[in-house]
Amino acid sequence: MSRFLYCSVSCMLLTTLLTGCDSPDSLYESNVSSTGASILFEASLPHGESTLTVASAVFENGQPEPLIGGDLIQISAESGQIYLDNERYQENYYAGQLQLNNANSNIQLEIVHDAQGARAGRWYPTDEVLVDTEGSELVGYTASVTLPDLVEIIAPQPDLIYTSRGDEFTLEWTGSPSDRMSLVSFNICYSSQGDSLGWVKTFDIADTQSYTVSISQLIPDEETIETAGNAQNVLTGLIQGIFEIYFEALTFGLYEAEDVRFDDFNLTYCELDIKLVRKKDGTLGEGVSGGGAIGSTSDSVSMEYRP
Amino acid sequence: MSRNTHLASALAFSMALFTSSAAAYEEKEKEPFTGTASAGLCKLNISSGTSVPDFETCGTYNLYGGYRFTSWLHAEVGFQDYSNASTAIQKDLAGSYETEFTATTTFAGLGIHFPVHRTLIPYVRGGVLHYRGKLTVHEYFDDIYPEGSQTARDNGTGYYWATGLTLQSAQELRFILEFQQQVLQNIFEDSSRPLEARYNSIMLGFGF
Repeated sequence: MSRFLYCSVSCMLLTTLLTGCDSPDSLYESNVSSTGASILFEASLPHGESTLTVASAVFENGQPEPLIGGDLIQISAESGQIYLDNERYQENYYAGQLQLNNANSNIQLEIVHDAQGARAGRWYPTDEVLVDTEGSELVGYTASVTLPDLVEIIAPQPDLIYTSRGDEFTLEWTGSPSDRMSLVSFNICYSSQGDSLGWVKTFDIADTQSYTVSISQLIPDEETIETAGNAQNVLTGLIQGIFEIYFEALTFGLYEAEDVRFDDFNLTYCELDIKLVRKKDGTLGEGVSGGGAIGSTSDSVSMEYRP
Repeated sequence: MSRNTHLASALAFSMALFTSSAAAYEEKEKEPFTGTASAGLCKLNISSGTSVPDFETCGTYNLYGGYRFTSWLHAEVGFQDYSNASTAIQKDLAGSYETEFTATTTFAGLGIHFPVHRTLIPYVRGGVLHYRGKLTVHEYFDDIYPEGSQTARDNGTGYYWATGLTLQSAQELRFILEFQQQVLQNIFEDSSRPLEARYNSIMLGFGF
């Protein structure tokens, strides 16, 4: 999808997510420990690309913990290192991209204190004027991942058009299975009045190199679509494609997008962008109480539904 | 009278007016020493190799004395002070911050006056300056850590130029309206991010 479309989707997503959702609790209910530090960390490499997308969220005693005063999330790989940014996001969510020369590289996350680095974008010389703080208790915590075998979708062909909700297609892909696989579907439907409605649907499937999906699974013929989500899939959805938008929506604390309403929506056609995400569990460093680390690879295929 | 006669009369009158204006100007310019005080509003622009936020409008005043070599060429030396110019609060990975910059300059240069009118005299002036600049940063950490401030100072050189109009009164007083620019170069030259500050000012003042 084009960036323009992503932007369009973002508005809808935010609108959708903002309706009927007022509690971020579900985002944190699993994995994140109610005591101590928790780190959610995912690094993902799309098929055919060499740029690794990384996202992370930090919690302290079960609550979002923004890093401030010079604490940063540093991501290191064989090819170099970056600091994750949250300029476009809120609270405790951070993201970034790192060029990856070797897909077998170990990808390391570490919370560091770098007063100058955290102020690198400032217009004035921070080596002359700096109000430094000591690093927080989170400094030194680590997590690491390696990527699973690359996933490549070999069927169906892209841009096929389906005309009935009863239509089925079989996803086929390559690569050795790993710990888990998620199917992430970004859907956007257009009405004859020119309105549009978009949502994200995520669920886990078995990594058996084949999975049959019906259009009705993705676009049910109901007034309300229940989108699936759990804390582990937050980052997965985030870094697959609509990186900015999904994260932006999430960081408003509104992940649990329950209702996408088709009331008064005269559906003309829908665009579906389906991604397969193969996940491999990583490790959390000493002292990290909860969360999770995942290395993932992905591939996508797009299609249309025109009833 | 013919049209040509009218034109010749008008030309002769204009010449007489200019000659008398210049003579009157010469008459008033016999005192070789001058003094000027002016104040106005300034706009600070800083370049640092990255995006710099806008500064709020600041205030400024100056005092300078001059020496007339001729009716049109003056030398001058003076002092100028700029009030705090501050930015809006910015936010980044380290927290929130706002910045203030202030400076004083001493300057020396030359002025050229154009006595084209008896009372309204355009001029330009320019020269070099020495500055003392002060940068202050206030940082806020969302109440997680105490907020704080840090200040750094630097001295250096730069240049200035100005153009304006002098209104010469009958009581030896001059009133001036001026646009002025002072450029402070290589501030924090040895730091990770050297700055150049450019003050644009509109000044109103008087002198003798």
